[in-house]
Amino acid sequence: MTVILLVAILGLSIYALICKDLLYGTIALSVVSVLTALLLYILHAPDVAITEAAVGAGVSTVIFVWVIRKTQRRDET
Amino acid sequence: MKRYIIGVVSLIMIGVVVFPIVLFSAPWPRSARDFLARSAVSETGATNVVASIYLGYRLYDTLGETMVLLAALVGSVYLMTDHGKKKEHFPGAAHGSFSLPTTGENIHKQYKRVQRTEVLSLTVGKLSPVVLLFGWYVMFFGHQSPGGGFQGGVVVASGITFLLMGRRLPQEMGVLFQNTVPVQRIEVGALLAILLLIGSGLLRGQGFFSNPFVGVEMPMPVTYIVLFNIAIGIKVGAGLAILMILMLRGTVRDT
Amino acid sequence: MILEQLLLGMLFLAGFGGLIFCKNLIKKVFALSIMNSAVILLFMVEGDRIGKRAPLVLDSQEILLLQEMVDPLPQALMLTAVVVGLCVTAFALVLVYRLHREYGTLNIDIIYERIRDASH
Repeated sequence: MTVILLVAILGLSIYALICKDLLYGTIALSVVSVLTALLLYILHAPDVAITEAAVGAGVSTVIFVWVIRKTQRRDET
Repeated sequence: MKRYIIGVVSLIMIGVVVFPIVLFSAPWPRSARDFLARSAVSETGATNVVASIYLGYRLYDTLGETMVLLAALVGSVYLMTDHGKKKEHFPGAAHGSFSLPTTGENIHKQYKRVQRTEVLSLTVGKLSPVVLLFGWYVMFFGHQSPGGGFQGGVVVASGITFLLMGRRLPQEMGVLFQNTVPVQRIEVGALLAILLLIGSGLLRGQGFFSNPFVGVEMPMPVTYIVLFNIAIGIKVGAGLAILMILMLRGTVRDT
Repeated sequence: MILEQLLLGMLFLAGFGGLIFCKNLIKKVFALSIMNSAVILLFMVEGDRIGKRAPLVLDSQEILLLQEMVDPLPQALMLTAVVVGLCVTAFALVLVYRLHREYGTLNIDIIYERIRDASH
C-alpha cells in the first residue's frame, strides 16, 4: 500500500515539473500533498497528517494560485 | 551545453551523497520511545504523546517555529504591499495597483466577474462557519486527540479564506476585512500571550519554558498545554488570515 | 523497506533535478516543496519501523499499550518541518511575484540578461 502511494506521488511530482500549464502543475502538487497526508496516516502519524493536509492542500495551493494569477499561466520555456 | 553538463554532474554528486543516507539499514534506536512511553503522560498530563513532546519537553523548538512563521509573514506582507514607489518596468510586467477595483466605474466589471462564479461563492460562503468551528475544535483538543495549535490555526485560516471567497454582491465587497489592522492586533495579542505563558514558570521559582502547574491539584498540569495550544492557534490563524486577506482583496488601505 | 527508501531517494533527486533544470521560477518553487515532502516522508517511514500503534492513548485503554507505539520524536520534529516548509514556499512565491513585477517574465535566463544589461 505504501509503495503504490509512493509511486503515485513520484509520478505526479514529475508531471508537475514537466507540464506546460502551471495551473495543472499546481493541482498536481495539491494532489501530492493529499496523497502524502494519506500515506502519513497509514504510517501511524495522525498529527503530521493533519498538518500536511491543511497546509499542503489548503494554504499553499491558495498562494500558488494567487501568484499564477498575478504573473503568467503558461510556461513559455 | 556546458550548463547541462554541470547540472548533470551536480545531480550525480548529490545522488551519490543522498542514496547511502536514504538506504541505511541500521536498527532505529528505541530509547526515546521507551522513555516517552513510561513518563510522558504522567509528567505532562497530555495523552497525546506528540503534543507532550513539542509543548512539554521541547517547547523551545516551538517558540523557534513560531518566530520563523512570524518572520516569513512579516517579510511576505512587506514585499506584497505597495509603498508608493514607482519605478520603470519592462513591458508585460504586472505593474500598478494589484487590487481589485472597488469604487468607480470599474465596479460593474468586477460584478460581472463575480457573477460568473456564483455557485462557488454560494457553497463556499455557506460552508465557512463549519470550517471555522472545526478549526476551533482542533485547536482546543490538541492534548487528547490529533490536533493542536498549528493544525487548528491553519484550518481557521482556511475558514477565513472561505469567508473572503463567499462574497457575491458588490455591497459586501467593501465591508468585510477592509483593512487588516484588527486582525493584526489579534495576532500581536496572541504573541504577547505566548511570551507571557513562557515566562510564567518564573512565578513558581522554576526556569523559563517550565510548567507552573506541575504538582498542583486543581488546575491540572495539562492546562498549560491547552492554553499554549489556544495561543499558538490564534497567532497562526491570524497571521495566515492577514496573508489571505491581502491576497484575495489586494491592499485597499495602506496597512 | 528498501523499495520505499529507494522511491523516496528518487523523489528527492527529482525535486533537486527540477530545481537545477527548470527555467521557470514557479517550477523551482514546486521543486522546493517536493523536496520538503520527500524528507518528511523519509523520517516517518523510518520511525514507523519500531512499533505498531499511533502515539495516542484513548480513554478506555491502559497506558501500558504505549509500549508498542511508533516513535513519536520524529513526528514532533516533522511538525516543525512542515510549517517551516510552508513559510519558505510562501516567501519564495512572494519574491517570484516581485521579480515578475520588475522584469516582466518568469524565465530565469531572460531575467539574468536583463539584469546584466541594466547594470552596464
